[in-house]
Amino acid sequence: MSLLEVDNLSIHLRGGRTLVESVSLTVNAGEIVGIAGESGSGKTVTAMTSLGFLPAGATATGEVRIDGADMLSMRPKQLQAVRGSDVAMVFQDPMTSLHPMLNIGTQLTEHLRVHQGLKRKQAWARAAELLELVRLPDPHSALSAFPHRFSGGMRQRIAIAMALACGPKLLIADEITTALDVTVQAGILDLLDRLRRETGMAVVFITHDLAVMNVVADRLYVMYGGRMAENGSISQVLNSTRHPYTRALIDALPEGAALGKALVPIPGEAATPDRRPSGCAFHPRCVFAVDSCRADVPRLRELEDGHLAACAVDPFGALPDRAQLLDIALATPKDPRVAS
Amino acid sequence: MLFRFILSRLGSAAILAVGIILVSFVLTALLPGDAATSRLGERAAGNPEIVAAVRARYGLDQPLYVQFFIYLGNLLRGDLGTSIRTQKPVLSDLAQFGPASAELAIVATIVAVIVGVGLGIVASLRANGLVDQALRVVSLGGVSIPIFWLALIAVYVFSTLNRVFPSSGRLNPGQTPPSQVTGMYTLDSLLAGDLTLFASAISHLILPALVLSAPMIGLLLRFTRSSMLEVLGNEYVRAAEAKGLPRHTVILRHVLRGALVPVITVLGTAFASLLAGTVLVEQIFGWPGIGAYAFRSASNLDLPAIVGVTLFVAIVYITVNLIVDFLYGIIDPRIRRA
Repeated sequence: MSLLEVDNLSIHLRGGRTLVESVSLTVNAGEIVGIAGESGSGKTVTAMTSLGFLPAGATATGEVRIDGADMLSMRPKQLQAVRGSDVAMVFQDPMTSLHPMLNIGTQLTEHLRVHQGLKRKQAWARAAELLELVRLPDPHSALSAFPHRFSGGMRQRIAIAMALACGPKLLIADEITTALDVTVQAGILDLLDRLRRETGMAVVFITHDLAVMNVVADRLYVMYGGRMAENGSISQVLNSTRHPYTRALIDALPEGAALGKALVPIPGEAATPDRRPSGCAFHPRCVFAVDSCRADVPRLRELEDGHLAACAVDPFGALPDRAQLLDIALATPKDPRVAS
Repeated sequence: MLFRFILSRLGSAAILAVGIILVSFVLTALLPGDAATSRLGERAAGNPEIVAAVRARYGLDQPLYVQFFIYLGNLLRGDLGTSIRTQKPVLSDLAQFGPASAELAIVATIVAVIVGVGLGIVASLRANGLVDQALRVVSLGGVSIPIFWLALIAVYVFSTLNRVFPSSGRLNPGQTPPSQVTGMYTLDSLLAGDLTLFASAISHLILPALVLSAPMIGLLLRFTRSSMLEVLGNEYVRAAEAKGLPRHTVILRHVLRGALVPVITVLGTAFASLLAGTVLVEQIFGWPGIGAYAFRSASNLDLPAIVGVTLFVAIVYITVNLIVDFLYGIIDPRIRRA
């Protein structure tokens, strides 16, 4: 049994809009699993269900199990017991995720005291250890300080310490480096990797930045338009990419441009729950799209061991030679900027 | 840091107080009428030698700015002049009527904060639901129903129709006030250990205090609701929920704390309108406070008393704003740096 099992999860809003459709993923103990995709791909919504959070007014079908217990059918009290203790979360922007009017010590200890029943003194001693663990300088005086005293990188370290307080089995890291300077990012990523090795916790790492993903993740899920596009080990997905969307994300990396390759933006606009194209949601932006892509939602197929992609065309894999690939591309000329 | 913050706020409050005194002094000086002759009888006012002597005695022959410093000096010695109507020093009048108003205003404010903020929290958690709609009516009513009308209705319903509360005064007829310590009968009767007197003082206090608190309840309810709603959308609230904290901890410690600064700002201004409301409420409930004193002084053109009340109210107002500033500093550590 995996630590986190998301099984055929669909999330709908009132009015029929679909946020997430038939998504499945697993996270094993001690693993760092990435979820990548643009805004609106459903990656954050999916990850939040592992804490039992659903967007306001949304309904979910399927199952989200932590250690076998379904988070979607839990009562509020049961959810409270799991949140912060078994599953913890670090948010994108440390400027807004820490309470500006509560001191660091209070924010680090309040859930420790609730979940582990620690006395104030014990909890504060533990909080100082946690700040040491995330390498925050001068942890003891930091406890009585307020968040505005710290830089973005320092605040994110504090937020990570907060998430680690009760020794969670699973950490949800939602774009935790996106709001930080590149130099600070590296420090946070190192920290995350060290903590994973020291504590054995699993991490769900959410980002749209595949370069960051390549550094930290063991396995990768790529989402688009609320559906799973491709998943597999990090090298399967990034080195023998099979889905045109994953390929497009890689080509759009500025790191490639630094090496002299052309920087290729993805044409058109990302699909959102409000505007999701028919068939394969990526088809209006896809140079390989054929007629059937417009009509049929592609099935997620296993291409090689543990490597799955949802593309009917599969332009980088199944084709016998590059010439035929070129024929397909030429046979379906279109302006990809025109969304259907 | 907090100490420096308090010191700087105290300094600016003192400057503000001097400013208010200056304005009230200039306004009094601008009024038609001769301060020297108004102090004398009719015959003495006709004698230029006596008038000149009075002018010299009170410094009225000095230039205006010198007079201002003489006036400041008098104020510092507690000399606010003598009331024309009561023939007593204005200061002793204020000491007599002030505590009665303070008692009324303080109880009204406490009630308003508890009820207004409490209902505001409830409304924000049930936003746009049935409870919220009902509370919107309560808030609108509190803010827009004239206080004198509310007072009359309250007297009619709770004193005339049902004898639940007495309709006027601070104690039952025939009861002797407790020996003065604070001048607030509820506190003084408790200090004296006289529970019958305390019960009487409380039952007289409830109705006027409730009426007086109505506009403040309306205002606080509305502001608490909107401020809570704004904070509820913050990521730090989601973060608190993600830590598995109990719901009441999330609401009271995280959301309410974040929502409190605008509420306290409103509290400061609402207190000013509450002071204005005391004039009407005290008149209707026969409450012998500053409001009633101001009303009678104004209708008798008792200048020293009017100026005295003006200064008194101004100083109360400055003090309340000072307290509001301190509360900001306590609640939001980021403000302490300013």
